[in-house]
Amino acid sequence: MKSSLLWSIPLVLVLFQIHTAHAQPSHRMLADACAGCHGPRGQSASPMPIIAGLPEAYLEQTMRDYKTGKRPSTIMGRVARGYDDAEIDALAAFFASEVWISPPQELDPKQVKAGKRIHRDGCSSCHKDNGRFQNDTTPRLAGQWKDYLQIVLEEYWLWERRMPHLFMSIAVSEFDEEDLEALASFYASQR
Amino acid sequence: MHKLSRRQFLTTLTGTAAASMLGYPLLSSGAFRARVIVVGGGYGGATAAKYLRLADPRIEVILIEKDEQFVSCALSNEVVAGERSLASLSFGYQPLTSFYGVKVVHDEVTRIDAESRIVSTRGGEEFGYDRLIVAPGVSFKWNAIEGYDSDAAQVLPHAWKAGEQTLLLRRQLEAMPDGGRVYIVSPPNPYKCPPGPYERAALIAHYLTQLGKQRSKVIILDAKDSFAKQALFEQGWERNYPGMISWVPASADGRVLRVDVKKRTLYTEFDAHRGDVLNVIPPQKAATIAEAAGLTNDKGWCPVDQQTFESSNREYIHVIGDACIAGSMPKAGYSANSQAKVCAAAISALIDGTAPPAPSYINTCYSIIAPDYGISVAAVYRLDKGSIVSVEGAGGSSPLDASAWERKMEATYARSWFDNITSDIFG
Ligand SMILES: Cc1cc2nc3c(=O)[nH]c(=O)nc-3n(C[C@H](O)[C@H](O)[C@H](O)COP(=O)(O)OP(=O)(O)OC[C@H]3O[C@@H](n4cnc5c(N)ncnc54)[C@H](O)[C@@H]3O)c2cc1C
Ligand code: HEC
Ligand code: HEC
Repeated sequence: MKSSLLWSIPLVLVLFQIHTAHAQPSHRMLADACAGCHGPRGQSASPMPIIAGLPEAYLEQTMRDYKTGKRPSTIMGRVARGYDDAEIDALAAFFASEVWISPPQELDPKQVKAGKRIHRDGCSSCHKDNGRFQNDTTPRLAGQWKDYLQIVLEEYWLWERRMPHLFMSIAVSEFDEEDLEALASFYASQR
Repeated sequence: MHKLSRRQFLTTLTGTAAASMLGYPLLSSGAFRARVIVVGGGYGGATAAKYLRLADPRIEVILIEKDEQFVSCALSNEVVAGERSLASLSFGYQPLTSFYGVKVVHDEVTRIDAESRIVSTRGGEEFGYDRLIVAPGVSFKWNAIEGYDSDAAQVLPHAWKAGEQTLLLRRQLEAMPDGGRVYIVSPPNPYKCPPGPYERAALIAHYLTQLGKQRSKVIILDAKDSFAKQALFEQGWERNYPGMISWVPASADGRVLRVDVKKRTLYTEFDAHRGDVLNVIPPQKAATIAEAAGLTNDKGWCPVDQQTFESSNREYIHVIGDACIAGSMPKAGYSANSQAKVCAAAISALIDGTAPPAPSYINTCYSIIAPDYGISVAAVYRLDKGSIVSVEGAGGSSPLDASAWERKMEATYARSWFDNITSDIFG
């Protein structure tokens, strides 16, 4: 009697551990919670950025940069700190596999034209194909919400925001607010 | 700003979703594997209905909502402040039917028979269910403040349900004289939208300033001794409306006990306050239908399993949103939306006979203090030993030392949040 009881204790402990081990929520479960701000499947319907279809490595890195504070944010730092590495990878995988849809936007054609000119001279070496190009480190710009693009460009421009990518800050430093709006309008006009 | 284009965009989006749903076999109603009824089509219920259909189109979903249109409380303080129209907060249910196959019935649920699993409506209909989701929001505790009942609210608006009440409060602000006094009576915890009364104070001060009545005062009489994002609000009030807003905590005789409608007077333990506009936000409880169905505890809220949201009192009934007790999540639209998705995934699993999936939740409450001055509080939640707890080290409020630029961004993002969450729910 006594010995059988003793035997069962480790078993109970093992079962208990399995039960309390922190089960990882599915990709979809994690990602659905972001939709309240980024729209269904990350296809945002207003200035909060479209994140559907961005490169997986870029999404991972960006979430980590928000988490550590390397990339400043109004709110993403507070959100990103809620996830461990595995969860960040799951979120990145989910949104990378979704489809980017460029929303129609009302834009000033004059600004679009002015933006195109600046883009060609100063930005097209990295943001190729009118901003459609993306790779592990460079996000797509074409068809992103204009207001978001303008906000990030201002962030790069304001040195006190200390954005992580020094090249970007240097690239925008010579422009004024009007130029930044023109650039944002240009990328927003692309599909 | 992109009003028209956003509408078009929503059509594009929902079109894609609809197209992807065509990939599923079309089933006649006899071929559904289970029926889920959702009571209440607000932030929680409408989300749950849509996400259940996305999770498993073989589940028949019937949403029973008493109103033809949903009018959002979130951002209704901007309507009070003359900054936006009520129409911009109103949503119909057609897309839920057209794009996701949710059957929508406009009727009021008057009875839930948990034994035989049947819901009855005022219109005399009966619907059987396999599982029921109850998402009816809150009801007011009339007369908890003596003299404040639904008739009194026609004169002294609560404006805590968006619609005619919101407009009534706005008209009273427009009619009051410069140098007048606006009182906001803030309720005890828990209630829907913890930062709401303090956002309202700010936007009322904004409107009075716009109307050229900056000699007026906004006074909050509170049943509490502290409130959400307090330091940020106090800083925002002072920066934007110096000297206009004051807050009286319960410990300084802020608790309102009685109202005299004719005399437009509020009575606390030791004092009487006569005002030009009295906005009385009454104490709250889970909506009456939840109470009638036996889902509430002695405090008037619904205890649930915080992973599946199944009622602790009744089997096969799930309660989400403001009506339920969801660990440390506040009663907010984002909370209700997030809980609805966790609940839909759990129900879909339970119908399959599998274990409910590990949950993950988010809430954020943005508050707009002035058109270009926003603040927020956010949290990421997980389940810990059966309770929803916020993940340590994450979340929290906007920093106190944020720049004017960041406050402006947060106001922009507050409105963007509204557009995106409503496209997630109703689009
Ligand atoms: C002024 C104000 C500002 C706010 N601002 C924000 C904000 O910025 N962010 C945020 O996240 N939240 C905000 N909220 C809170 C948010 O509105 C609620 O938390 C949210 O609506 C809760 O969702 P719910 O689904 O539980 O209930 P509701 O959205 O209230 O929906 C309940 C629905 O059920 C229906 N119903 C009730 N009983 C029955 C019945 N018997 N039969 C049929 N239908 C029934 C009702 O008609 C209603 O449509 C705010 C609230 C207020 C008052
Ligand atoms: C409360 C609203 C909110 C929530 C919730 C939220 N986001 Fe964000 N997100 C933003 C905002 C606003 C920005 C812009 C940066 C900032 O100011 O915080 C952003 C930016 C981002 C970016 C950068 C996009 C780019 O083009 O570089 C990514 C990636 C992102 N969010 C992912 C997520 C994921 C994944 C989740 C869910 C775990 C999430 N967000 C939840 C509001 C939100
Ligand atoms: C040397 C290559 C390079 C050049 C030149 C460059 N960029 Fe970038 N850009 C990047 C990279 C890399 C990122 C991602 C930064 C990060 O991860 O933080 C980026 C990010 C951005 C973003 C933010 C996108 C988002 O979703 O958050 C915008 C907007 C942008 N660039 C616009 C421009 C404009 C406008 C110019 C020209 C004035 C320009 N860039 C020039 C490499 C470049």
